[in-house]
Amino acid sequence: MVFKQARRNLLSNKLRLFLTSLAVVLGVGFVTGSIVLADTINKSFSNIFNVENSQSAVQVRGKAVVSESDRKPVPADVLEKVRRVPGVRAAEGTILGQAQVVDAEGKAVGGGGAPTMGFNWYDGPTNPMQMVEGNPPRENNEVVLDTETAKKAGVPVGGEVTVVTDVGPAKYRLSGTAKFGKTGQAGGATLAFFTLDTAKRVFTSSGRFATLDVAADPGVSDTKLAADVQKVLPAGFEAVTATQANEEVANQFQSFIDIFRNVLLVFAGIALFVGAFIIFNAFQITIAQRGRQIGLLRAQGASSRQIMGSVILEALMVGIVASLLGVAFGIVVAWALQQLFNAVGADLPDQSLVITTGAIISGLIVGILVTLLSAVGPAYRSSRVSPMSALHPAPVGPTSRWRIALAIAMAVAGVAMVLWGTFGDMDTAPRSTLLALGSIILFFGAAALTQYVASPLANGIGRLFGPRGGRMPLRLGRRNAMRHPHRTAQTAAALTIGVALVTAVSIFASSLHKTFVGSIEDRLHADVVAFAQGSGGFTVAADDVVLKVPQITDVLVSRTAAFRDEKGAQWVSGVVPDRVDEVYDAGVEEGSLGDLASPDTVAVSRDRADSMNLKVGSMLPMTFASTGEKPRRVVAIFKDSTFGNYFMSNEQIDANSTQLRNQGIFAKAAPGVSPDEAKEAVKKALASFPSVEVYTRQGYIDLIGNQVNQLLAMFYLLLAMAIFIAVFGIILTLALSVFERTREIGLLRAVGLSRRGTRAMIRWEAVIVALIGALVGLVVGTFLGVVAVKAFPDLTAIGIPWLSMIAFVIVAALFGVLAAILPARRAAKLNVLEAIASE
Amino acid sequence: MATEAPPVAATPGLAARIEDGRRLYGTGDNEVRALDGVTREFPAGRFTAIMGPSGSGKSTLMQCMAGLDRLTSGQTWIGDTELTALSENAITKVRRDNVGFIFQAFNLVPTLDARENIMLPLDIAGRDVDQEWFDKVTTDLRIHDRLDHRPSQLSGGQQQRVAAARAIVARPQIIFADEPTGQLDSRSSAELLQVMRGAVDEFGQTILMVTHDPGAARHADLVIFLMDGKIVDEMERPTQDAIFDRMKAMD
Repeated sequence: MVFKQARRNLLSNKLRLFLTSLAVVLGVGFVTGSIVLADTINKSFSNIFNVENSQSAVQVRGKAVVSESDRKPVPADVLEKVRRVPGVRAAEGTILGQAQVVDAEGKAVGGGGAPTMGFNWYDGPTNPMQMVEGNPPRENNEVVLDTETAKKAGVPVGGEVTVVTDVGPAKYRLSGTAKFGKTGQAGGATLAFFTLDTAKRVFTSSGRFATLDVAADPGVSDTKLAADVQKVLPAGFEAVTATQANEEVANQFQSFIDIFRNVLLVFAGIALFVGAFIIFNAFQITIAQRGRQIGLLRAQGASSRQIMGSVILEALMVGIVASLLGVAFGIVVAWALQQLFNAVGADLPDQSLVITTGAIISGLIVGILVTLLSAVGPAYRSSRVSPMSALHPAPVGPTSRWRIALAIAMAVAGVAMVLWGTFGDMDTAPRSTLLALGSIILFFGAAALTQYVASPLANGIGRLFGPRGGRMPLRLGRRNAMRHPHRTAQTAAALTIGVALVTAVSIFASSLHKTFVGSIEDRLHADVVAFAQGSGGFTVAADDVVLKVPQITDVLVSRTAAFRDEKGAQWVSGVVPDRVDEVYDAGVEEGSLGDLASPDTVAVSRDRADSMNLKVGSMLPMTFASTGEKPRRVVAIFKDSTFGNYFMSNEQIDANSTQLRNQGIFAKAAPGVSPDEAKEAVKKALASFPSVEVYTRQGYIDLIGNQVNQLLAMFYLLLAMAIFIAVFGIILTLALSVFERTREIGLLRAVGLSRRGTRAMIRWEAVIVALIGALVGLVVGTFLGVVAVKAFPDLTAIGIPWLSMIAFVIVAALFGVLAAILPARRAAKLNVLEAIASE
Repeated sequence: MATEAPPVAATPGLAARIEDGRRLYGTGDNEVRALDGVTREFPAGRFTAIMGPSGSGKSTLMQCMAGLDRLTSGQTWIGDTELTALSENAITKVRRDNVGFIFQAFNLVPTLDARENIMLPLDIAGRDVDQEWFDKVTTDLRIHDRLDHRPSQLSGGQQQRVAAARAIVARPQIIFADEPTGQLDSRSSAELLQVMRGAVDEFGQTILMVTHDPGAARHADLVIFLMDGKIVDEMERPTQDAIFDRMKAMD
């Protein structure tokens, strides 16, 4: 009997160890994976910036009056002045523009988010490119591409390739290929190099340079050279060391990668949080099960500190082993995420995974700490087991009033913190802390409150499936779910978190969808919409082509430009003042968009007008990089901010922008032409501009809808980890309770409950627990989702995705069925004799 | 010997039968013959006690006959149904419909109250209860005022009486009782045995009880003695002293 008991204990421990560890492994894996992936992306980009401008000592550029990326171009005469500064070995100006390479089939190469850049080629020490094959461009019809782009375009050196620039598509001879720095990778960007004359002609630079790169004579320090060059520069320009310039660019990427890493870490944190619930649950159940054993130890003189120590030690061991496995798993996660992002077209630079000791140590510390913290509560409780429980298992005490009060207080505090964090006036850092803490406290509060409603909820749900109690397995399953409301609540809590987050995200997405698609449906009257993916826009050369298409009328081309007002860096969209009302109803509340035809005017959205206290006739000071600050008269205030918060005429945009790029073309079908015919006509006309995509109004609406859905799918994917862990939590709890109820199941089997009935009983219990988790999750998630929507004034509509929410409940129930498979099989396979005999 | 004993059944017929039953555990040198060729008929309407020292095979005999364990060779029947020919599922059904159990302890499902525990086999089978019969049995067992209580709210004796009620209310062909008084004090033991005796005398219930307590076995119509997996003796309506002496002789 002793041996049998020992074997069983071991078996149950193995299973418990496995499932508890799994929660830690998955959580730690996601944390480590996020860090490793971010480090890897970081490394691959910093590799690029380290070799770029390697010979360059000083960079000359316009001061960042609007933003880091939008600077005043450097006039050509400045280059001459810089070249005469003592200590300057060489100085070259870079003309920068957008150049879309087109392959033999007429398809765009690269793009889709990654930059498509064109430059002038120059020889000399400051050029970051190295020729790989062929020669630099010498003739004005020659171009050099980076090797990767040339390969993608399928052009051999000496062959012809089409490149779309600001003056439209043209054929060039590929005189050679070059690679960027040492790695030859530019993060998916395509690079095209022309002669200086060609570059001046095809890019809207008016002969000015984006930057000047300066090399130093031997023995001249970068800082000294920068100071010397600065002396000859006119006002509004600056000379910085190349090191500083590189760092700035790297920092911009760094902040982008940091956001990316933080998003991943938030999801990793959620996974770990859910994991912590499960570990906590596991320790609590096993300690309850070992109550007699612990009581016996206490009766024989073990101190409560020793008992607590042994539980903590167990947690420590689980934590260490599982965290080590988790770190290993994290490397796999990082690799998988890398492949996943590449599969969806992110085109991350090839870089073997960067596994720093920092990443490993973070993973280990997080995993071990979470496990230990989850075990502290149960360990403390275990130390309170009285020696008497060796003789009589203590009955579950009545819930004390202050516990309920505490649960309510936590829930209320959580709600209050989330509301305050959302609507209060504060900086980003305290706001996110408040929101995160508030959500966590809210979840704890919800979990604590769930235990008081778990029994009636389980009862209600169970009776839903079987009026008047239903068949025996259902009735038994329902009773089992009601038996330990505390445990049921904790098991359900893991799923609650998952369902709540999924619900919140889908409410947000649904509101996003409703707001944008809704306003486009209501306000966009264009039959044809054309634009390029990514923020780069497309060439103004397309205008002439589109304006000649006879099947469309009321063509509205929209440009954008960056500027700065009292609120910071902004974007203004260009419109054609006398046509905008035909294709787009901005919901003008005061003034008229037609007045934008007058010089130095601007239209402002209601939201911005209110926040800056502007009325029609007010003056809004706007600073552009190339033209400086000028106050502009507000001529209209409009409601809808789908296409931006500021409108100017295209002429004014052209006069103030550093780069002329189109953001979109909107047009109506000519009388008697169907929208589809109009779209096909535009598409055909724009065939030589392959980066431009043309849609009908409905196609455009569908596209926006799909983009929202893609965003949603990505969030679901990231949350899947948390839900996955939650399902393991249900498996773990069920498996442990099956073990705990060995004799009871044996008895049921003896008096005639079939194996199938036994399985059904466990399954019903799992389904009921899962549904409790889902229902509480729906409530919490709806709250969080609605609050999140309310936090964005741009989201004017709240969408409640009823169908999705019903689907979540059904999926949760299915997860319950899934989670029950193994424990149910275990229960059904119990040997009746041994079960009855087991003590 | 046993098979030649004249039946003193209140109702004629056989409730259960075992034919050349053997049950071996382990193999080779470790082989244990828990049952070593037992053949025996159990007439309906009688209260039979099986006694024997530890390891005599008395529990194994009961478990094999009840369909909780399987014989290595030989056959068993409940009524006319041969258990040894049935699948696990079919045996479960026989247990549900034709067999009642009273175990030594932990007889009740803790989440169900007394009434639901009594109804458990009928509920599993989806059968209706004969309410009059239910009332009579629970009243006789003096648990009719405890029907809404959970097992944890009942004394040990009350729990065993609920278990007895569960076995009796379903009117099975045979009730197997495995040391039913093992964890009860003498007063509760006596009460439970009287109830079992009453079920046989008044309702013609068949009961097969395994016990090592001569005080419990004395309530039976017939006591069968088992040793080393074989039936070695039997006594009709024995006194407690006679059983005691016989047991002593076997040690």
